[in-house]
Amino acid sequence: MPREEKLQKRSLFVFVLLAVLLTLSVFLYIYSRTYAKAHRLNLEMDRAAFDSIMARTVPALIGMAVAAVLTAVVSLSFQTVTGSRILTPSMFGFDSVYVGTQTILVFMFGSVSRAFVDPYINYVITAGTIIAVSMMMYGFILRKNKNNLVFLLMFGLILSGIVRSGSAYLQVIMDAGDYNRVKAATSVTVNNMNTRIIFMALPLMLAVIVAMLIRHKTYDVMALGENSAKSLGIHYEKEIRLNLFLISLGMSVTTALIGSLTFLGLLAVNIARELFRTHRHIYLFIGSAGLSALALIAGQALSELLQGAVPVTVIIDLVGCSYMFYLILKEGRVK
Amino acid sequence: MTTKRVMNLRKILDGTSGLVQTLFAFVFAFLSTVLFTSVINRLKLREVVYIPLIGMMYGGLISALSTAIAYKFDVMQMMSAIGMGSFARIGNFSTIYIVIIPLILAVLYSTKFSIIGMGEDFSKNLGVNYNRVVFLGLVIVALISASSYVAVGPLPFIGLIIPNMATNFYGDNLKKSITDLMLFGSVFVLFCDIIGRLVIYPYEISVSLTISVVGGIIFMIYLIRGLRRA
Repeated sequence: MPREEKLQKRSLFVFVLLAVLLTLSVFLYIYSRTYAKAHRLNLEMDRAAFDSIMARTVPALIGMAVAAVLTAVVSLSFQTVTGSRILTPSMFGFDSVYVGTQTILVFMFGSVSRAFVDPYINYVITAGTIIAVSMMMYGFILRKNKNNLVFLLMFGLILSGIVRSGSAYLQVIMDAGDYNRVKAATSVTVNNMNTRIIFMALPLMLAVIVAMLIRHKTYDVMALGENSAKSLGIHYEKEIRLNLFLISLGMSVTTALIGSLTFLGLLAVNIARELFRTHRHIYLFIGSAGLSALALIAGQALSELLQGAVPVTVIIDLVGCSYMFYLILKEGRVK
Repeated sequence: MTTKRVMNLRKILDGTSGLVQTLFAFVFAFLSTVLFTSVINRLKLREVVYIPLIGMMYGGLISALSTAIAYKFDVMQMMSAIGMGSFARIGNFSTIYIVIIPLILAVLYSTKFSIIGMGEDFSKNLGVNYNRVVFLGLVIVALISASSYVAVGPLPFIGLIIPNMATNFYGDNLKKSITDLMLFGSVFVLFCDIIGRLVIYPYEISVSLTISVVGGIIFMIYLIRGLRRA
């Protein structure tokens, strides 16, 4: 089939281009943290200094790559499951659930308890809460009211508002030492990454990504809509439940690792759709993952080169929102 | 949501008088509301889910812009302080006097707004100048929300739950409900402010937090009840 060949040729080209750009942006990031900084401060860059900076740069790079790839993959599968092109799971305020969990942990057990200090126990509790909350939310709304997205969105927004204000309440009541530790634990951003859980995040991320990649054909069928998918032999309800579980797991990893990146997934998935112009999920998965990592790492390198004048989330939000607006206005509607 | 984000922009003007701040905020709020409604009206397929989504994106765009500006001028701390509503902020009453005229207008035009709510064709049949009333409504909304944001700060959920509760009792006739709406809203805010002042007495918690918790829970109950009924 010529069309198939065309798609393969085009996507090969895009993949190679993405790989080159990604490598370049990794080098740019390393350069921005080492030689650019040394040059600015008029310092000599010797071997020892380079090594010590690299010891911090490499985990940061891995963390960004993990979070970016997960965000993209999870956003794509969420869009397929909900049948909407402009929803992403990060719009439902997982970061506020994360803040709420940390606050309640400290409030109940204190800031020196193992439940809060031990990164693994802490992560298991946090991920469990995020999964429980989101499964409850989705199960309650998606199952009873077929794809009532307005309700889902409203619920997420209001729930995150309540949780955020409620934890602010608890934070002012607790004593100053506890407050400082909660603040330190909950202010995870790209610059202030929670690298302590990176060795747990890696296998989890791989598990989620592999689980989604090997089932890419199922997503192709599910993208046809509920009725067609059911007629073609897809266990629709089971698939949705499984996917929501995977999505919540992935979101809990990124939120605990790097904080909230609201528009990254949206941007990456939609650019991938524009680039490939296909509904094959295997291309979209790989393409959006690469784009997402590229956007985050290149954006972070840019932010470092600008001496932190503008944080990377602001850059991504600006670009992402403008692009979505353009998309909406161009098409008149977004499917 | 979006109008409030816009008003973060005006905080670079801090130090000027409340009147200037309010007018500046009003201009931005009005322009952004007009832009937003024109974008919404331009969409061919008006699926309901896109309206809050586009609102979210619009808000995200504006808050990213204002964060960038705040970083540039090194006023991030002031910006986060301004995002917290507090009645302790009211220094003079000039910002509050501005509200009086639009408030009277809102009461006078309440019937016309109810008619507008029934759709463009319907209101034209009833002899209401649709475009003029919509324009007036936007001006009033922008002016009131601008000055209340400058004077107090964001008061989330009030605009959502109070009218919803009133509709339960009065239906959609604004003329009957508007005075009760005002009284009920003020009592609710006062109640939340008192809680915020008592919890960690002698210190205070921002009134927005209390409203967000109490109002959020009430709204959640409304949502769930609506879902059950549907």
